Amino acid sequence: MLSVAGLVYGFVHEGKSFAIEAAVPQLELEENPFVLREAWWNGELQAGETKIIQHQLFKRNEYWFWLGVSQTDAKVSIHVYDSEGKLDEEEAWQDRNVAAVRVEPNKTGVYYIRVAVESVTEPPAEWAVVYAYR
Amino acid sequence: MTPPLGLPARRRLLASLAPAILCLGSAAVAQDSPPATIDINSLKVDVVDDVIIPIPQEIFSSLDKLGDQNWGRHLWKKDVKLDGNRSRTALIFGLVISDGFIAVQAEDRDEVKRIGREVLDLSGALGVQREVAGHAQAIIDGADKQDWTSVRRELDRARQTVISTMKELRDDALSDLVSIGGWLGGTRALAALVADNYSVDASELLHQPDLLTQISRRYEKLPAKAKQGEIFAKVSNTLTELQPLMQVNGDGAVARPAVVEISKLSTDLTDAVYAN
Repeated sequence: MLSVAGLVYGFVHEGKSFAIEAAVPQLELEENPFVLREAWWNGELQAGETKIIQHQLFKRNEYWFWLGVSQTDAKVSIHVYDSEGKLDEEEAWQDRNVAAVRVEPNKTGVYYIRVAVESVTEPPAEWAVVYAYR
Repeated sequence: MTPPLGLPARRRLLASLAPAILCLGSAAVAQDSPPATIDINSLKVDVVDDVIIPIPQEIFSSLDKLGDQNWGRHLWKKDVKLDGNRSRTALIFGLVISDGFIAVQAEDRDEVKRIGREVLDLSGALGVQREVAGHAQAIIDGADKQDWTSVRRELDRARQTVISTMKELRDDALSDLVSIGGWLGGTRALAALVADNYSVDASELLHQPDLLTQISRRYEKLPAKAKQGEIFAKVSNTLTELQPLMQVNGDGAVARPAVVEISKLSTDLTDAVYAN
């Protein structure tokens, strides 16, 4: 389904809420804040599993991607790879069930966003990824 | 695998993370040991099926960093005439949202307000007016105040609201067509601008072969009943014709003749969707 990723059927996705909460500081920068996209991705992962999101990025833009999962005891990570599969990110951080990565693409094209759930006590982890650009 | 950072680089990284760490108020830390590479040829089982198409503003944001653009020249002020074909209406909805982003770039208040009204009317034709009305009004109000940041946000919200509501209604095909229409409208304006004032840097924004492949695959999977009418054969043909053009050459550029052809193909298709 194009662009309907992460659809909620009338309920709040907690993973998305955590991801957006983490995004807020970048969205509220006094100068040149990031612009949050309304579209988002989601799914379920077991502990130790990864998923890859393919997404088109544009040179000269700067992007943040935030990953959140609903289970607060989970440990997650998110990283970005270029079209050749090489790690290509400016910075990344993780804080239990939330992680984020910032990218300044060197080329316009498809990039690969790798989301991983390293641990979770009550699988599956319900994950969501939101992103913003400037 | 952690990226191979020396100690100074690690300090810079941690320093850059400080605001995020403080804002979170907890133990946010640089991530541990991501793989330095992934094998993109063996991703099939792990790839998320969902495709999010960039909105025109993402592309325009990059283009604007290369200098001022003549957005007004590529602002179409097309009257919308509906014919009862909901699939075509969905395509037009996506196009109108794209035109809204272009009108915002041109800071054309009257056109943005007109587009706000079109968004409301089209959402009515798609049966989702109740869900979209607030966003349409916010587009109009934002245009009145020339609050372009707000208008851009509401255009994206209106678009996503239609897509999400269509999904809730199990009308996946229409939501895909809204996305495709939006991509088409943005591509038309981008290609026209780049063709007008060609540069290697600007042309590279049209390097979208993988995205186009994703779009084409989705389009081909749509049920036949969602692609009834001549216009949908033209959509299919145009997507196929665009595929070899949206590639970069050895200089990292989409060549000028290819840009001109992309502009022509996307303009012709947009025209045909509106005219039908």
